[in-house]
Amino acid sequence: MRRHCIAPRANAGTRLAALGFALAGGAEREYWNESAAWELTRADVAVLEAATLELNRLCLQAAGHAVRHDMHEIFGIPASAWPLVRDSWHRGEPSIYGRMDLRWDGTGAPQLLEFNADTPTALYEAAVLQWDWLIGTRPEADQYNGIHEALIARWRAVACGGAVHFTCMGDQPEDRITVDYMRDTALQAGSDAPFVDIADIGWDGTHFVDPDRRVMRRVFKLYPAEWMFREAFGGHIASAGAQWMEPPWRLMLGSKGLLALLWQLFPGHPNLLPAYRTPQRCGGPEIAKPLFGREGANIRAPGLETDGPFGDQPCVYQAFRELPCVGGNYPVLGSWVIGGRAVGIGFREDSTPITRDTSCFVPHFIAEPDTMPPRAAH
Amino acid sequence: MQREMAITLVMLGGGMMALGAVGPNAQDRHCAALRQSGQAGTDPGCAGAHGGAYYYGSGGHYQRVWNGQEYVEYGRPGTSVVRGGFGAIGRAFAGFHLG
Repeated sequence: MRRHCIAPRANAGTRLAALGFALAGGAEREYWNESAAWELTRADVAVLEAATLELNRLCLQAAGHAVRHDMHEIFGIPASAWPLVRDSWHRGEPSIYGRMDLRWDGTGAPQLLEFNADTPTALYEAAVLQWDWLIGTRPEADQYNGIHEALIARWRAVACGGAVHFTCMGDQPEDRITVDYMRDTALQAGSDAPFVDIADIGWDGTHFVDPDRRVMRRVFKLYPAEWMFREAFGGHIASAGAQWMEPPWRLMLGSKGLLALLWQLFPGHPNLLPAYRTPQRCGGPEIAKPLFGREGANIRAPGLETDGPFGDQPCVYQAFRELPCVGGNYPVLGSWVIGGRAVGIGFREDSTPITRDTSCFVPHFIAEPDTMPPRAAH
Repeated sequence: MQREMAITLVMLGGGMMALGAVGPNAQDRHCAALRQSGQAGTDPGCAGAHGGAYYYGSGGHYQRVWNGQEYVEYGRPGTSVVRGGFGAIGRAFAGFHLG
């Protein structure tokens, strides 16, 4: 795994605009950084894929264990919401996607920093923008990126051509990018995919309905489950008969409490870092992460502290292994899991060891010749 | 297009009109009789195979419309709907990325 400094495409801005990628305040040009690129070997990809699959297996085992033993407290899930989570697990409600954030320097075992299992973003960048960059700059190269195809296949399997409502806070450009891309993949899978702002979801006494009074049976939501449970309609979720994606059981994996449970169940596993719900047990420097914190907010580590709105939450304490630093950049690998398969990655970089909402997305490529059958372009 | 047409026809029918051809068998005659008497929405069996629509639920508060692929369900106009029960916490965190 190697980082290259390269010349960005002369038409990079035009390409981003053509692909509909625009962030608030024009921040997309700072966020999307193609003045660098990561080169992977096929052996690197094999390591990342195997680690992701193994971690996904551990996570599902941990979730099953937590349900069997009613361990909602380790995740910080309130007792009142636990039946929703537990029943969702028992019903085997399908997940669409998740992103594991991994620490890896190209040697040894990649290690799980956290699992964005409920509301992962940076999806369009990973699936489409970096693929477009590859085609435009290195058409002879390859990329570890089957995200787009996997999403379409997943929608086919989960919705079987039936309608899926899509919801988020409609006025948040970053969220809309992810949701609109998800809608596109569902449409390509043969589903009707109407969008509903989360604030426009209605309750008619029995079901959730959209602004046309259409009953919402399958709903993809890019809105944290822990928020939904606490809001005015939260009490209706259990009886409304809607299939949510991500389903409530994913909250177990989205909570940083998962890290402590994983270490409890699989201590010493090479893909895990020591983690506990109480401080000073890791035997060295620790990083404190709020259970439902996001984008590096309210993190505390030796010599590091970030602000944010999650400071009142309980934390998980994970052994602090600083990210590898290459040319002043600290990369985190976001490894995508779709339908139980490891299907691609995206690199985020920051100038500090904590990945935040301002961290850049950097594309990657595989320079080695492809020995696999050719894949279809997007 | 199929879905929109089905919905339009249902609306034009004053709230209920089964769609599709009626064949010469007992079930179709039964359904035709119900339609004639304005009770077509009371029998789900008069809908699915014929691409129709029907009401269901307590008080007939819901309508299923076949869109050629699946039933699309609608609440009956006039039924009370409350909105705004999701999104409050998100508004408090507006501008903060989900991750």
